[in-house]
Amino acid sequence: MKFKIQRDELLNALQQIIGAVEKRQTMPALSNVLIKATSDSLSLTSTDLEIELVTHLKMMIDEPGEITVPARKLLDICKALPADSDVNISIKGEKALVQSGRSRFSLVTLPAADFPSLDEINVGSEFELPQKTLKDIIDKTSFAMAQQDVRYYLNGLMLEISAKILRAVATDGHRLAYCEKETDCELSDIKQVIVPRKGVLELVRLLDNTEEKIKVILGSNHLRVELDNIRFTSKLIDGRFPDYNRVIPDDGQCIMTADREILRQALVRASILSNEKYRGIRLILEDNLVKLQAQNPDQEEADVEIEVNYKGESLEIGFNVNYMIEALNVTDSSMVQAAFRDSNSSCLLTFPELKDCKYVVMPMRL
Amino acid sequence: MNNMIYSWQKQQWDQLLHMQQAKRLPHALLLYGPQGTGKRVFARSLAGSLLCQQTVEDGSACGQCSQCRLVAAGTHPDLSVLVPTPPKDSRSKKPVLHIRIDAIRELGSKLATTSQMQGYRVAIIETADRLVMQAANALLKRLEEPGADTLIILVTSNPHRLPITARSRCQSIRFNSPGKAEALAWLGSQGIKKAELALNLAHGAPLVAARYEDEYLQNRELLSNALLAATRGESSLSYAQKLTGLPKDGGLAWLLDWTGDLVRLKHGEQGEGLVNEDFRESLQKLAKKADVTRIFAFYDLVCRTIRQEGIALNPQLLWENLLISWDNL
Repeated sequence: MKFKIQRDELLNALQQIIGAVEKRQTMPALSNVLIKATSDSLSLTSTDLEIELVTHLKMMIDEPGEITVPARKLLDICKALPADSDVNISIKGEKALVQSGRSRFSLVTLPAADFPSLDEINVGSEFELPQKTLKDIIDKTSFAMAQQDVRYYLNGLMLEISAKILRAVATDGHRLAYCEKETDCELSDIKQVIVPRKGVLELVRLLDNTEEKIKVILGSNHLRVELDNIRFTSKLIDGRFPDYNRVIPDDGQCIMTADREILRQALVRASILSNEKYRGIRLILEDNLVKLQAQNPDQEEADVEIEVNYKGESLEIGFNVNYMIEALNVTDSSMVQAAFRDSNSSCLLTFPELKDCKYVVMPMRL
Repeated sequence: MNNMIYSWQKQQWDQLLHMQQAKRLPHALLLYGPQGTGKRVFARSLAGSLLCQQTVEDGSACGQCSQCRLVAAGTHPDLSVLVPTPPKDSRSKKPVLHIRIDAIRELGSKLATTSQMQGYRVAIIETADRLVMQAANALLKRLEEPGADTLIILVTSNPHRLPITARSRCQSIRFNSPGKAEALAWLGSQGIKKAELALNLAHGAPLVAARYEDEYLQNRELLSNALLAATRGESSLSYAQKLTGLPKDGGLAWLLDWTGDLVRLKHGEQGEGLVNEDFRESLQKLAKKADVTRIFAFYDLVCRTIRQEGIALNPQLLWENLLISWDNL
């Protein structure tokens, strides 16, 4: 294998895929990057056995071939080389030679066949959508994913595609985030997958707020997203996601509307004196008024009142304040609507300007 | 290495192959039987066969396809192998090896995700009796209900040390030592000298016998010199210090064999099936003057000492204690 590439181009490509390089390095091969050179293109692959990132570059190759070299070392070398310089990479015996100007490096290699790369996946369904739609739907839900829960199927984001609608749902058992978007996908049946937490966080890093179309493939074992020059593949969680429709309440009688930013700031203020571990806060609804009360173990108290739009019986209910704040954080809508039934039932947060997302927060006994 | 089985494992192999062809392979297997009968090799071969894309006629892995390459390189994403490890920040030279809960949790989260290569997911837990209690408990859920196309293989030569809850969730497959003729033929093909003696010393387990090289036989001579000191009119005590250098799996286990031989000789002129056949005459001399009750008491003492192996005792004192008792048989 032998080729010449611009330093900036190589650096850029390496930085795109470095996220999947295993940091703990349980297997030596996983700290390597797979370099594949065919006659007119170059591809770099990294994996941690859960997600795989492949980037493609169209370029002239002097001599095709494939090899794996230590990813971080190659990246560090590229970073340290002067901008606008050219890099020559070739194989000599068991070593890979990296040469630029008068600097020469020789890196240890491992054979490409030992690298667990993934080429074909079983295609279940396939659709296209603008990048920003996928980014938006993930941004609006991924914060509610569970972290290392024994209910392993909660440690990820559920994506569901049915005729023309893409849904994302995440929950950790205390709160739930739901978001749906229209797509032009023509699917007759419903297809549901759970993408592991790590895959979701890595995927969102790759996405931009552009209208550019990307291809999403839901396989039986994988989710694959094909961007312009980078291909992302993640394993799925092998389990059944809880039925989210039964969790979202639809019978909230007491409906409060408030300015989202004012409510958020009030919650942040009150949260300062809530219990640091349980983050409990008491919400008291009265006519056109919400009182927020927090108390910590040192008997310090916070009392915050704001004006809202509310008509009905007065109601007292407790919440984990972080769950409320996080749900209010993800949108930039000006108003928020909260629907309560009683002080023992979960609360549904919706945004009048955004029809597509809903948040459910379970109450807390204080 | 990943696609061979030993000739004496054919029956078990065919049994599993049959199950697999009938799509009735269990989700958890417990391979058990005496040490040195090739259970771990069998487990790897079985895993290799399940992951291989084009198995050959007898169901074993081809060793050529991309999956087999990954298995051989130890990078196959759907194969996990757990072995006992020392504690994380242990500085001890001989740390106690266990399979710890972190490893089991990691395995659990790996098995919770779909297979990378879209085929079987296989986990091999070697020396499964070294699972710490918490780890075994953490494994139970996965062991009971792994996802589709998953096989968890536990390998152990001490199945009774596994918690019953773990054992009962697996289908057990027993591995026996092969017959003497078969074992000798295999040892011969491996170029083992003194195969018969080695097999005797290994209680018929061929893979243990295959390890008995020159160094081993030197160690054994050291032990025999010590134990037979009395027949030469010396005291065995002076050998205690040298004996502390004996390997862990030797030493006490061999001493047990010697004691067993004495019992055999006591119970009949012929003394059938001596382990240390080559020292028959000297053993007979020792047996003549020894007292049966004391031999059994000594046997118990050795067993107790073996059980205390994990405890840091002064090895020289330990051997002195044993040798004094031996001389007084």
